[in-house]
Amino acid sequence: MNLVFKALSDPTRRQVLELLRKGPMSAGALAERFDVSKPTMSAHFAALRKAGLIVSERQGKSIVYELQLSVLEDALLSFARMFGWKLQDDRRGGSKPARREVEDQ
Amino acid sequence: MTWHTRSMNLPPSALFGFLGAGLVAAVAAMTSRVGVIETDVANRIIGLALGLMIVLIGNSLPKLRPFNRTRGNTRPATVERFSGWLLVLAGIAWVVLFALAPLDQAKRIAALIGSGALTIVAVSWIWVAVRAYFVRSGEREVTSTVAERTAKWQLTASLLFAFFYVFVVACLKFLVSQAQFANELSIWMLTAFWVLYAVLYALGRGKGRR
Repeated sequence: MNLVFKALSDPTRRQVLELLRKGPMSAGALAERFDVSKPTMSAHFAALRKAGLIVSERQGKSIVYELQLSVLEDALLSFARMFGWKLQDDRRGGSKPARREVEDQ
Repeated sequence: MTWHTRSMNLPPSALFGFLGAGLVAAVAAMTSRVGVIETDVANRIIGLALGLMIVLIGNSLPKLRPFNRTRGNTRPATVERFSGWLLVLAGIAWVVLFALAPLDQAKRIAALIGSGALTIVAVSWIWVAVRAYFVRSGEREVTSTVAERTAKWQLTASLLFAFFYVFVVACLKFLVSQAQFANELSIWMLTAFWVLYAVLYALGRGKGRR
């Protein structure tokens, strides 16, 4: 459970999970949505995989990620989105926001 | 094709929750028959144990992934999530009812809630199965090896079949007030369990050979 909380504590990782709610996506397609380096993105994917929140599958040269949340994890993600998202972003201050957020502003 | 994470494993909470709750319910039923505890107390323990079992299985349902997922088709995932939420809420209602409400009312209301949840889950799953059967063109299955898929499907199907069987029997037993009829029903349900389980096993074997 500790791994799940750790994985959900990061806004980028939560956004990855939100994107995967719409369906499976490749690592490349997911990485394109964020203004972070590929190694950082890989670390985020690894944290999510380790927590058991996503599963990955190799298809040719690309890796496809798919959501695998239990009901409790789903509820935690929703709570984090409702109450933690802004707080986390404010606390981080200068951290790189996701590209989608920048476009929204 | 490699599954990097534990997609082949059943969540331990689901497996041990099912077995543990089943054991507690069985012990309560047996000790009640011997006369160690009162029937009402045994019924409450059984109701609480089943409620916990429903919560644990419902929580793990989206992870169990009972449907063969297809690429670009998120509907089964949505249905699995919805079913999971529904079962968790039904399980919480069972726990609250058997912990706090008068036993007669708890049994009746819990059975009605359980039947309702089961009906909605069954209808949504049948809808997904029918849709998957008729709408196959243009969708590519997420491929893992046949052996992996079969092993996972058999484990998941066995656990879910046993769970839904226990859930249905509990709802029927709580709804039926006549002891004689309830006992006869139990015997028939037990026979039906093994027949259906044999059919399920045969289907699993057939799926593995294809």
